[in-house]
Amino acid sequence: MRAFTAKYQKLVFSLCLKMLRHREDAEDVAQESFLRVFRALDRWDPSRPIKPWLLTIVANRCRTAFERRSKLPSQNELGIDLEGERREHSKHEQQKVDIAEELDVALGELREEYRMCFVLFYQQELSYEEIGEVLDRPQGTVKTWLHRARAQLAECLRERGVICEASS
Amino acid sequence: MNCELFQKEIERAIDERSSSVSVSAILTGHADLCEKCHSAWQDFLLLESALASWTEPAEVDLIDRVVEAAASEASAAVPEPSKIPPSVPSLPKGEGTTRHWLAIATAAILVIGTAIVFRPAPDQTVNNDSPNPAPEHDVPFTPGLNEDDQYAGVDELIASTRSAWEGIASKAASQASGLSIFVPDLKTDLGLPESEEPEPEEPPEVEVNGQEPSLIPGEINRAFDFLLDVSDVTAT
Repeated sequence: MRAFTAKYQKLVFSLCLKMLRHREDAEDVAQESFLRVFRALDRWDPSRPIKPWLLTIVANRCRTAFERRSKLPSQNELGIDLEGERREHSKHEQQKVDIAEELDVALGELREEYRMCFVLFYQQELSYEEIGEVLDRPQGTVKTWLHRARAQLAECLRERGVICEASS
Repeated sequence: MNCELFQKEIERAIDERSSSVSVSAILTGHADLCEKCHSAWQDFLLLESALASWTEPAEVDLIDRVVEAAASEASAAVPEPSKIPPSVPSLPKGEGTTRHWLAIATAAILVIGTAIVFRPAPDQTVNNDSPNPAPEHDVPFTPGLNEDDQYAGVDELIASTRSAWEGIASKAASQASGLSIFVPDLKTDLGLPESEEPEPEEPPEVEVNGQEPSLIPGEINRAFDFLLDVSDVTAT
């Protein structure tokens, strides 16, 4: 159990953090996901790679966390001050800001499925087929979602005044 | 390179996670000339530079936390033996034996009592060797009627049912023949010669008790003849 957690904790936690954008929530969901995995480990088919199966459980847990969060009266009570985060960034519009953080903020504005698709593709480096397996969607849909996510992110970054270093 | 090819190359670079370095030589030439493709190229570069630092995995140590949670979950799933509620409440020592014997004695008394109450009386016993066995009746006994009267009643019932059925049938037939006025006379309309066959005779009136059941077949035959004539006309 220790070895399994040690091996996959970064993978699981990174996805949770990117999806939920709140460290404590991400830790809770990651822990919950591991417990689910241990309970369901006998249902895993050893002939198939474990990563997509594991990430399917994590994705479902993240989705449940989103639903739970949406039922709460205000996100501010959870410490997710998105507006504040935006204001903070707008203060530094003229300054050179951390582009990765900007991407995180922009990701927060995407639809949940686009965000999941983007994170699974770029962070977890899953193939279209594996993402389709995790999200239970056909490859074509996954591809469309990824391209839309990219387009919306680029637009959002441009609106925020983020300029590519290579082009500047 | 045209715009279509440029878009395909961009999509391929995204699908294969190719870096801008590997594709820039092919794409920058067109992007510099085309405004629309220049914008797409800038978006590609922007996201690539953002992704470079974004994909770094977050540092975390969840091992102790997960193991602890799993242990507490496992202990919650299996209750301690002292906390298991007994399915039958335990009795004080010695009291259990007394109750056991009391239950057996009560059951024995109930069995004996039931046997006494339901014992057959001597005058109700059936002697199978009796020389005059009880007569068997094919027809159920009806008080106040002899056998002929019973059969007469059944005949009457059948007759009234039959007449009722025939009455309903004759009414339906008359309604059907009345509706025939709504059917167009195709022979007249199409100018065909009248049939030389004599008109079928009117069937006799049906009596209430069904002595003349030929009305229905007559009506049906007429209807069939009409349909056959019509179908012949339309076929030709």
